[in-house]
Amino acid sequence: MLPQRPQRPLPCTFHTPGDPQRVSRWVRFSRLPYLRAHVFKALALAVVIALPAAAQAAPAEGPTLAKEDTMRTDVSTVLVKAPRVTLEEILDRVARGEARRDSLMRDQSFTATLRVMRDTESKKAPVLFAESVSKVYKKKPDKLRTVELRHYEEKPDKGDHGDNEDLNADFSPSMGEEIVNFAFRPANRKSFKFTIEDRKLLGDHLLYTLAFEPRSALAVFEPSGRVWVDTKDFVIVRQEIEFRQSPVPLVLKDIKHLVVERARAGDFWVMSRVLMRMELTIPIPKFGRAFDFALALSDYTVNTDLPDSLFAGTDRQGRVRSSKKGS
Amino acid sequence: MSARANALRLAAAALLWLAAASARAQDAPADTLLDAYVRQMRDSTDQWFGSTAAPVDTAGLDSALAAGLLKGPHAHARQRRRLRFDWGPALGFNRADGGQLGAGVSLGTPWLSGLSGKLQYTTGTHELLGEGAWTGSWRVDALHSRLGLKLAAGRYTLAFDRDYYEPILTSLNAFFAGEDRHHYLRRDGFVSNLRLSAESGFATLSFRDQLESSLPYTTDWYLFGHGPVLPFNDTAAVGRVSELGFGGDVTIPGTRFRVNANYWTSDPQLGSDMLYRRTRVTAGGDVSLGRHFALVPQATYGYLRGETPPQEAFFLGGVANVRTLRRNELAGAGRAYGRLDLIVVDDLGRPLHLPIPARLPLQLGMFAGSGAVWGRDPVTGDATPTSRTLPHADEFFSEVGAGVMLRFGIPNPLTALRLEVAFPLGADHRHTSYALAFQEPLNLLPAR
Repeated sequence: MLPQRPQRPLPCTFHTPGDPQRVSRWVRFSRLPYLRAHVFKALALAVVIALPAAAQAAPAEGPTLAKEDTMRTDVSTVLVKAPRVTLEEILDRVARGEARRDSLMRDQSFTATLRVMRDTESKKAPVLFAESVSKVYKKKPDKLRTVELRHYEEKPDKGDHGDNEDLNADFSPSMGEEIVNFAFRPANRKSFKFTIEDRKLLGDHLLYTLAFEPRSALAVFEPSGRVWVDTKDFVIVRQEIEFRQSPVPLVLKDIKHLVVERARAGDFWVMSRVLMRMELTIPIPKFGRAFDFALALSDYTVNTDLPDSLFAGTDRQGRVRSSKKGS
Repeated sequence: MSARANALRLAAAALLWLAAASARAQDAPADTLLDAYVRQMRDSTDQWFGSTAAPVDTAGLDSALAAGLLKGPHAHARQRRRLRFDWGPALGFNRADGGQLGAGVSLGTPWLSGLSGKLQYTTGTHELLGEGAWTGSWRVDALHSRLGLKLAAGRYTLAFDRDYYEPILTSLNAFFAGEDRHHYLRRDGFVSNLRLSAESGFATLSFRDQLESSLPYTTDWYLFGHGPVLPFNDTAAVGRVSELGFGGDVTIPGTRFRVNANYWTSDPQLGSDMLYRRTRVTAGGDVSLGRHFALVPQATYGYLRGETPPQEAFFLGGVANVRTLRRNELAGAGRAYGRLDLIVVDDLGRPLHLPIPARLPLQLGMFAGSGAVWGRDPVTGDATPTSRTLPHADEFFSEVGAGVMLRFGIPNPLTALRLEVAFPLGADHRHTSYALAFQEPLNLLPAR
């Protein structure tokens, strides 16, 4: 006769304290007649379901969960010597990450949309006050070309033949995006106080949320806010800015919300939007009191080796006009 | 030739677009958890800003770009040649000139830099004042700074106090209330100023060659009365002054403190009728005491060697320094003054439900200050030459005070209308004084 496998206890067993055999009751139940066994099994299931409640109500009575005490192992304590990255180190690495990002960019192009919406907090729907769309080309060290694609104003000045510079953003040849990383620049960092607000593990990215505020109590009008930093490349992916007090209280009552967003363009995080809502102290006729300002940068290309001929004859603003106002 | 150039441009544009399109296709980002998280935040921004955040309508942009790329730099040159023209009134008032009525114009082009001019007629002396000036500025990439040059010539009326004179508010004060305690002189000639400025500071080099002369007291009226608080105008030392000036302003690294230093020298070797060396050093900054309090210490020291013409003296008294003294009550060849402000930076207007127009932030402040002048004639009160470089202890005038500040933010974010009460410390002729000033907490440091 071949040797038989010994009967193994089921993973979930019942035993009462002092039961010497430690044998599952299921084994005993199996000896009962078929129907009776089913009834008992149902009862046992009910007991299992009611077990936690019963254990809380009367811990000394009834069945309890089995405790595995036949297998033991000792895991020696491992001392982790690598300390958690400090805030100072994060700030250093962000500054380096941003500098690295800038240094890797040779050229870029994007479509820039500058938009002003008025009456953003009135009962009526917001109205587009002005919009300007431009194509911008930048190439290191200081080449810039801007081609205006569309210009709209709700009420253009009479006699103005497209020369109005009021809504045109003057782009800089730099790709540094100072509005995103101003607080982290070595020259400015001592002016701000930083704290770690949150950290999140998103796949293989660790995302830190850092809060910053002016170090000087007197500078209540300087920006504070929070930035989200992807610590894989130590780049800023988003920034929300707020002001404790308005920088120009006589004119500007409040800057309610200011968001700077970045988006991926290939291997780079690039500025994609700046959105701001402001409220004036005195409403301007035909404009209102609250208005939004938005700068959206889309259709990015980075390091596509833009030809030098593209920039021939342009100045620091690099602007060449192409379309008429109101088109 | 033109057709060939156009064809080349078109080909370049087409290549550019092909490259851009292929780059965009290759650069489609992987959809990671990070991207999803960032997109989620972006969606919430979209919701908050509504139609402001809507994507741009791209219809017609491609053809506009193609047309724009074909346009040559000549389109830009037109804009480059365009003149910029501005003009505005130039008004003033003091008891020497009376009303100063005139206008100023400025003309600017990128190739001409800035030209400006001002012409005023004085109702008291019946003369013409004016200035013609040229200003230019250039980037200095190697120093991450900007170099500015101003050359000007004209006839000016200026106050004796070279350190703290605010022409607009002083004129308004003189015109409405006759409360002008400055003395005035005439300067005719040429001034120049070269300035190298960067984020951390600036340096200046200046030269002027002007004839300085006295002005009579001509205007004894003001809008709401007759007889100004000072029914005379002090006599200035007359002579041609050729003066060289050096100055600098720097932020002390790692702090929020600035040091500003200036040195002016006038010497017969430069063709000047006067011999003097004037030095002024000022330092100040702010220290935070938690999030709600700011301590603002500042101090200034000035010393005049050589001759002591009244128009080069150092003045003490008034809202510029010791408030319990009248404006410019004391003059001397040397001046030392220090002040410490404690400011509650939070807006007190809203929590106290005060009916403040435009909801301007209302801040509370306390201060203590002490200052002295030395090298002064006790009989005439004028500055006299002295070899002392420091004041005696009994020459100091000290005070403490408190007040409220309504922060306007114009022209500087810290500029506020300050209503203060000051109490003199020590047994002398001074009394409790109330002052209304429009200034910044660091008022001793010149604006950058």
